[in-house]
Amino acid sequence: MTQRTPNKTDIGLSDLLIALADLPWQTEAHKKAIFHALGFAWQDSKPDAIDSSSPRQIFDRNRYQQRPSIKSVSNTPPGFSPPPPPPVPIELPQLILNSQLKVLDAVPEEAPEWLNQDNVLLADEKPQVKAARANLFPNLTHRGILSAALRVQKRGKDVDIPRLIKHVTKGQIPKIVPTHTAVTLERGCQLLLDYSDSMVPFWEDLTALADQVQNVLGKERVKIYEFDQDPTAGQCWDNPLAAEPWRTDDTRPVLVASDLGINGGRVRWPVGATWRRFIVLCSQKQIPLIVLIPWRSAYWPEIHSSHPIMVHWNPHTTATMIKKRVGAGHQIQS
Amino acid sequence: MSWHTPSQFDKEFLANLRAKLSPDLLALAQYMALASRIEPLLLRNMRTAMMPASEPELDTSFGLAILLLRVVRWISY
Repeated sequence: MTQRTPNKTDIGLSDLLIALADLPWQTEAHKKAIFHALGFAWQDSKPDAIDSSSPRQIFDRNRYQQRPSIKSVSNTPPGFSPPPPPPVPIELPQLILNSQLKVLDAVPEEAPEWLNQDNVLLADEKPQVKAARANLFPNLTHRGILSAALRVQKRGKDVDIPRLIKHVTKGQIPKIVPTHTAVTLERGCQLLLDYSDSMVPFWEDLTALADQVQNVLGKERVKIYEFDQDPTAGQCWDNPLAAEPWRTDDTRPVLVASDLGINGGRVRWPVGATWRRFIVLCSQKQIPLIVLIPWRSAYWPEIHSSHPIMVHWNPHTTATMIKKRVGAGHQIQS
Repeated sequence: MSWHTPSQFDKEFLANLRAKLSPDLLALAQYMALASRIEPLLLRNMRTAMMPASEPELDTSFGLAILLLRVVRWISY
């Protein structure tokens, strides 16, 4: 072997040749095989050209100080790289081996048994249609009923000519041009739903009523509160994380669906204290109050107040009946 | 009731029901007797289909009567 300096890390061709010459191969074929395995083309005279008796020397090929290698800095931004080179196709051997597979006999084509069965694809299965429910306010009439119950008066745009003439003939100049009143549903309403135990058979009607009111007035104009027996403790769950307690709002009417605590008794007893407080509260603030009751008037408790408009909540109620009670519309001051 | 001949107790029980319950409620109970399970949807649709002139309060009365008399097999609200 050559004398190695401690810093020498490269193995040169001469080192390799000397090492090959020192190998104790036995035959020429053995020698050729090693050369061939290392990737050298074999020539007979080459191994013999290395004189083992000649002094072995080390040639410093690093005569000049080599410049430190500088990595080429690419201008590509980080994260980008050139696409990888296409894979080198594998050279297939020219020799083709004989296949061991045997050709099977042709199978007679018979339709499987399940193919002729009355199968149904999953995509063909129709979802089960839920039976229709007869709501207490039918779909055909609920628009008229709710519109009549919740309409509010407002100043119209049409000038009231007779009133204007009356002012002029008296020599008065009105500060505001008198106009005809119009009715509107744009105020919306507060909807209070009674989910107490006595209303259990009507819970689905309450849900349907909420949908109907939202359809008529618009979803953003209806504030839905739920309560159990005490309407003043109603809570709105628009935000599922925090319930909003009911407050009086004198800009919109209040629609309540409840049985007022009726439990099937025919005796007309005074309405409960919670309901009395609620009615008084709405009356003092002049908030229109409409109460839908799924019981006949014979069962209604005594209220001793003319403020709430009580409506029998059943399919036979019509918009005309409501209009007679409400009149030209609710009057809201603010 | 069963397919057996009504006993004296059955006859008295039925007479009691007729005396206590309203005719509408008794008629609704006869319609609903065919059901093994009574749900609000079935009760409402049966009432509106078979007794269109009846009032919605009958739904509540029916539930209350059943709870009081305990004659139903299964009612689900």
